[in-house]
Amino acid sequence: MKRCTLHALLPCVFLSIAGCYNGNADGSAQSGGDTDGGTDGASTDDAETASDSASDSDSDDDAPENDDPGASCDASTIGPPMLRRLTASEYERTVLAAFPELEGTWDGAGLGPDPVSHHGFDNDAEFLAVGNQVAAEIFDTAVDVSALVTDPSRLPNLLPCAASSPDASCAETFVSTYGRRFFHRDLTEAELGRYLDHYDGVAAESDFATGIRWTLVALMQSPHAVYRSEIGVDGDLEPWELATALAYSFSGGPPTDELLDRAIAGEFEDPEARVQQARAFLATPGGSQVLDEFFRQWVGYAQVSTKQRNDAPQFDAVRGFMEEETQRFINKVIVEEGGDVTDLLTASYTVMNPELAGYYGFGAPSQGFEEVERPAEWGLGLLAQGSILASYALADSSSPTQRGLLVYERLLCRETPPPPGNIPMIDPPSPGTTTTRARYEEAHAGDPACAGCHASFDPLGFAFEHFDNVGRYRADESGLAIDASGSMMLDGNAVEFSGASELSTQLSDVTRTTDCASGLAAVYFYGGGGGTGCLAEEARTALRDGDIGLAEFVAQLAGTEHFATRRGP
Amino acid sequence: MSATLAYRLASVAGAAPGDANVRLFTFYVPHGLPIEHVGPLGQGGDFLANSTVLAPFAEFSSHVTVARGISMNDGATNHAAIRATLTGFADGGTGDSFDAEIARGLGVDAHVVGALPYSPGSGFTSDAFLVKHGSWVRPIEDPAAAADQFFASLGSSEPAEMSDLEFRQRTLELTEGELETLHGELSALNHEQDKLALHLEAVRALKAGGSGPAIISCDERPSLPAVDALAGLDVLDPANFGRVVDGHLEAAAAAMICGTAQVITMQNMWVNADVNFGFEGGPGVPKGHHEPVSHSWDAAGRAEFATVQSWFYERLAEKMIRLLAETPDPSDDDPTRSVLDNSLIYICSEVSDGANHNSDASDVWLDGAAHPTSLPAILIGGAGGYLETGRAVDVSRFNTDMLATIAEAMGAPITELGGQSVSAIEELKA
Repeated sequence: MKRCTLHALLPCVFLSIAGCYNGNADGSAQSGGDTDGGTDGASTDDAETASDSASDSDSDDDAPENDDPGASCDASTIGPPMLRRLTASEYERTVLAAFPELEGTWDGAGLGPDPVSHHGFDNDAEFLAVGNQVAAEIFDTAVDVSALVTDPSRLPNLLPCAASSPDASCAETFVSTYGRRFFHRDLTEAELGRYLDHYDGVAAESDFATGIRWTLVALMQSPHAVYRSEIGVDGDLEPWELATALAYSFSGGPPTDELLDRAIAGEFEDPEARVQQARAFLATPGGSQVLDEFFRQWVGYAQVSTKQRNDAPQFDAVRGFMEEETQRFINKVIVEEGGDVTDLLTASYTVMNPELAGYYGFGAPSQGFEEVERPAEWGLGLLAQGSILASYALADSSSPTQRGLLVYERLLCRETPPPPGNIPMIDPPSPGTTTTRARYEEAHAGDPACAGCHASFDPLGFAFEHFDNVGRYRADESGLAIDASGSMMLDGNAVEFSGASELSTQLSDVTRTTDCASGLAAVYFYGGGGGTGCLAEEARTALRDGDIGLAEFVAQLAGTEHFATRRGP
Repeated sequence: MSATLAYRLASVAGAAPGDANVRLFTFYVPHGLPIEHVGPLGQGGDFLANSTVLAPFAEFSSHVTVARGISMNDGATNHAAIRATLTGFADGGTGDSFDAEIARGLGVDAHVVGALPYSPGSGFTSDAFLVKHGSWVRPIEDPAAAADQFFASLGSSEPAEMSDLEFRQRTLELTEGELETLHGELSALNHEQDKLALHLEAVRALKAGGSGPAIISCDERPSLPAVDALAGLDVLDPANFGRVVDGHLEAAAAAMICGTAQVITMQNMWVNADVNFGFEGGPGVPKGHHEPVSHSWDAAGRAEFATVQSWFYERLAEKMIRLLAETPDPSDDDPTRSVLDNSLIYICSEVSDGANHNSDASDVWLDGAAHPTSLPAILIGGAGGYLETGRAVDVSRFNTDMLATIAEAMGAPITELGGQSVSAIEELKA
């Protein structure tokens, strides 16, 4: 049974009894169902996890589930203990941190893309299972790396005693040193003994290097290397677990020896020390990548790089720039200027290069990417980014449904059911005869079976009708006037808007939008939080109140009780 | 003949008629079919003569069975149903997909390959979750890598040292022991224990090594020109989609003939893929597969959808079916029987009629006329004599019963999927 907190009670009740919630942030709801079937943006489909057959006996009845990341609570709670399998990227970073000598000579970890959760993120601990496929990929990676490391040209440099005294003592040095780099703690006596026994057995039948090679394979595929442990003891994460969580969460890579030592000294028992460290990590290139990856996965703007638009041959040449534009824009607003959700949605500028200026038809950057003011009424902020407008569109036209769903699901954290059967036809584009809006209204608003759901998000999408399917502004649609007006209930108020700029401004004023962004950020940076919501309410309140920006909010996630403690079984 | 091949074929001599290995190839193509282009289906040997979309199978019609009246189990609808197509349940259920169940029953590996099986921009999302072996399986994207897996049992020209194989086993045993210990230590944490149990099972499978069919008729990896032609190309670039489809089909067909792979699933794209079908070697429809092509309601658009879906079948016929039909089965005592006689190719989808978007057996109205639709369920091959082929069969069953039918045909019966009883469809049997 899903549990609802007070703030989320009404949406949760309606979601549990109806197929479609109408997106009113005050909780009023309608039921219905349908889409145009063109929902290749963020998916709301439930997805299987490796652990879904588990009972709920290890869940805390007082902890809210995070089915609705936009819900808020009066106080923070804490999540369950977790093992978080390293993502493909984290595993690769770990190997390179352990063996920086391999940089440039190693092809990288042979792990494919990680599965994406129902919240749209690829780092959810519930989804990061080690099935046959991943186990084989990790094993193969370990075998490849071990062969490189123990190559006669490399091993003596990594392990000087390999040249001078290749014996059990030298093997112990190797296991102790590299065991710590993969386990992020000193090996226990039992572990050390186990690995040295393994080395002894192999070396006795071969040679020193072969013994080291297979010992390294064992270290690299050990569950203590493959998972980030957030298990703790008596509810508290151990110092090395804290250091590990800090490093991976905010820099994307493993903790250094120095960080581990500081953790063992007790430094990170202090929430503020953890936040300071998180800030420091976020300022590194690795931290910047982590932050960037969150935004990519939150709004899916990188999809633009895979979209094909045969009717717009110029699009191919600039879609890569469009992706870079959005990455730079977000970095400018969030990192350089310390902006919050309002700033992200209402910034009057973008960051683009001469090629994009020529493509979009505004701005005159002299060279490279520069900050450029948008023309009035040509949109504001994140939702005016060409990458997003082109990603959430169809091959032959804009898509009010896809764009509306982006806002509805990813900015307001509302759920929609999968599209039903018996979808009625939407007339194909008829340039100069019918507008896109008219086609959608006829198909969706005119059919009660469709209107129930589409009334919730299509109007949001109509606001973007001044942008075509390749992300460019259009004053009219093949000579036909564009109606980009709409209305919907937000935070209990009927809100009217005309065009993307007004919608972005209205959204930025709505508590739900900021709560959705902070809730999804918490889901991402806590690796799903073990399915628990409301893990960082103080920081979410500060973001909502305008006291901190989004980057600082992310850093504040290190200072929560959840970050350092876990509820009991 | 080399000693290796002679050894492998030795087991054939003792095989009784009908004991030949039946190979299963599951071919998923998203978003159903435009029903009016499927039929009308006739009677007798040329029952596909009037079908537009199934025309590539016409010359093999004596080996084809079209099952009509299949509905998705568990109330799974359209897009969510990709996960139900081979597992039987909307969320994938608590068990494995049927290919894993069959492979387990046969004691062989279940191979999963994919032609652009997920969006490079969106990643491996639930829209691409089709096959589940404990966790959702990401199909092997590159035909060359798939071929490496298919033919791994033939070994390399430079076999590994026996000592290395021994060290490998000991290393995996160490990891197995660590997982067992950690599993025990987390006895109060059921979710984490479940993760470790899956991991442990995977390491044990690695330790056991890959399991291939008992009868292998090749001594070395066959020539695979379509696979080789992909060298240096990005297999996730939609422009190469046609080449990748051909490469996967070529490698899978060769593996089925050699007997090195007995259970293979091929996932083409994902459920709402907007892959542009103007790629080289394609059907010449330069539009997105999901939108607008599969969702077309007008006659011209639906004709394009028929062309696009038929292109998949044309490639399947060209790169696999023809080859299997022309090759006597080395694992069968009867020299007149082909590999196709002893194979079962299952063509499936998650949607019945693309534009109608239903996943059940129901009517779609076109130009005032009702056309009965159901999930595509096309069986090609004799399955070692299990199926009565060369006909269309009307049934009224869930897809889980179709999966059970295939499992029984493979000699690995399934009586339950996800805790739900299932049974073979008698009407399809010989």
